[in-house]
Amino acid sequence: MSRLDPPRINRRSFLSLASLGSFFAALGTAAAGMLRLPNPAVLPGPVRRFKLGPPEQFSPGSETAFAEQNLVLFRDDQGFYAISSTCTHLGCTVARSKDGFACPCHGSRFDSKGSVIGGPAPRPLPWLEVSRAANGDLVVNADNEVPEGTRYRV
Amino acid sequence: MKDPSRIYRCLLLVASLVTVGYLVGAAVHENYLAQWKVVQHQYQDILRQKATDDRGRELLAKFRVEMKQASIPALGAVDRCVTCHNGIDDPRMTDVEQPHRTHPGHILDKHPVDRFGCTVCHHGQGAALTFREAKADDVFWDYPLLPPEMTEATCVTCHDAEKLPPDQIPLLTAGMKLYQQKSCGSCHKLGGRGGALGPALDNEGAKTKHQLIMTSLRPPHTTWNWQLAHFRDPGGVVPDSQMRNPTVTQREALALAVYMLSQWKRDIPESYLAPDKIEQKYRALHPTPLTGEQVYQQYCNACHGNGSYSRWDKKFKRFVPAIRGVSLVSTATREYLQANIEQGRPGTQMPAWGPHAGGLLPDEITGVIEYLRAGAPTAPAMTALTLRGDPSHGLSLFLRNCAGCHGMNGRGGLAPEIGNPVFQRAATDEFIIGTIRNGRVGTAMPAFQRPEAPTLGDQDIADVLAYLRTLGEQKGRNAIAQNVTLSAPPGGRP
Repeated sequence: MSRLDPPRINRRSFLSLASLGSFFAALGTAAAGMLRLPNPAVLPGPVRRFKLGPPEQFSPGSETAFAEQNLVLFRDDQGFYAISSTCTHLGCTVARSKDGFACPCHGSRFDSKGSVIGGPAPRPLPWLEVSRAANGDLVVNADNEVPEGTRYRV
Repeated sequence: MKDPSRIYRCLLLVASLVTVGYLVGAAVHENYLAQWKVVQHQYQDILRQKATDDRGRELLAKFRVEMKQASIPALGAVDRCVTCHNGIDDPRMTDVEQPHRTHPGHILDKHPVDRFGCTVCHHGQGAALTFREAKADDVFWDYPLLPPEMTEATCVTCHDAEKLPPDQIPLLTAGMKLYQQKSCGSCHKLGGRGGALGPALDNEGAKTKHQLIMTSLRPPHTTWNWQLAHFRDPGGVVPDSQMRNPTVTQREALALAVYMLSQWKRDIPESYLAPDKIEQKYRALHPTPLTGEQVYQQYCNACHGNGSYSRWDKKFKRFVPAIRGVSLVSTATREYLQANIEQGRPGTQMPAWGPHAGGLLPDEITGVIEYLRAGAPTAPAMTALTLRGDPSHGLSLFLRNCAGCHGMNGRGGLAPEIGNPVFQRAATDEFIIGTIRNGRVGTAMPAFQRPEAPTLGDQDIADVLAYLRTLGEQKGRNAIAQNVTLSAPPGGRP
């Protein structure tokens, strides 16, 4: 038998192969659908995109604390950046100290860029994504972290 | 074609192919052609057209086709309206078609979607992803989407309507005025003040469609449409409604409907309330008294009219007395009027208006009495009778002359109920005698002692008075009926 002359598949084995194939196809599709379930398109949690107002409101060199949103917005000569004020240790709200941030709960200390300089905090304070809404207002998305040093230029 | 089962096998094949085709079609429709995905792709195209500067390009680059929502746990809102209404906060989108257009006005500047969501103002089903379900006027949803012009009804959830600029809430302002002009308070309570004939309206806006009778209503079967139709024709929407047709134009009906929808004691966190709303809540504890004329217009006018003439009321099937008629105010004492206003007339449509019933303040009751008596002689000239009356003769006179209107045993009919306990307590003998002698100008009550042809002499009037006073002594109607049978003179009944 050469490759040019493959063995004829008889009707019965073709049908059984086809039914087996469609069974596994259906199983695979159902499994894929089920695996998608733990990852919903939207979550019912509160909105963590905060509109903070027009950029002109914040002068260069300023820092503004937003207590309700738990973040501090800075503006320097390179642009805007926002640092979360939720301690990475157990979630207390950190206070602004002379050289950075200090957590009142367990004494974690961070420098003014959010890096840990003491205490039990395992990670630096996250920098949050800053962007602008369609109407020009600054928007901080507290769900998206950006690398330290990222600035948003207006 | 020899095999007879061949046709069945063909049928099976066709049915399987149709089923598989349908399932594939449904999968494509659900995953790729969902309404919101189509809308977002349209919006992406619009963004591309408008991306002429850096900002525009940035917005385009950041745009993702994905489900979007504003979830506000404090308001219990999960609003996915922003999945399709992508351009509401983009000032460039004023010239595009809905659902992409900019939100009108500067409302979103003060009320960002991230903090307020959409349904707290617009109602509707926030979690829906198609417009039909979001509008929710034909599905089971408590508060369907309000039409744009009626949305102002929800502003007062957090604001004091009187402190908002009237041009922002034109219908609500008109509705508040109409409520007073049409004297709705005569029958309905609002904020603890008002009559008792109709339901209290304090939480009217909170009513869901299941609390309203929809059978006679033309679709859409929504709460706002019910309010609108009900103001046009109360009896047509609620069978046996006691409410008179308020005779309003379409726009006035709309204004009143908006005002009703705004009456909703909603539990909103304090942080959402405007300062004026909190002041309004405190002010409601210490209301400023209205003048007598205002009280009359807002709380008496619907039944008594201008008060100079007695009015035949079709719904009540009786005359409503002329309470500002000259013959009443010239004979009635201040105490009589006060007792009637404060205690009402139990058993009739006249409710009690005292501070613990209709909610009028003592000053307001004094004021409205002044208003009723305006122009009346300061000291009513009344002559007392010194004759002793005979109640059984009085009964026969009463049956002949009075019972036609005032009812057997003074039970009331077309005319007021003489046996009414409040009347019996408050009316002085002089008042009753004066009324019988001189009648009531402007009502159906004739004078029984006209100088030219007196129907009743002084002794007759004394007899009638004696009989009328026996009505007040009796407790309960059976006792009165018994008394009448016992004391009726033989052949006394004409």
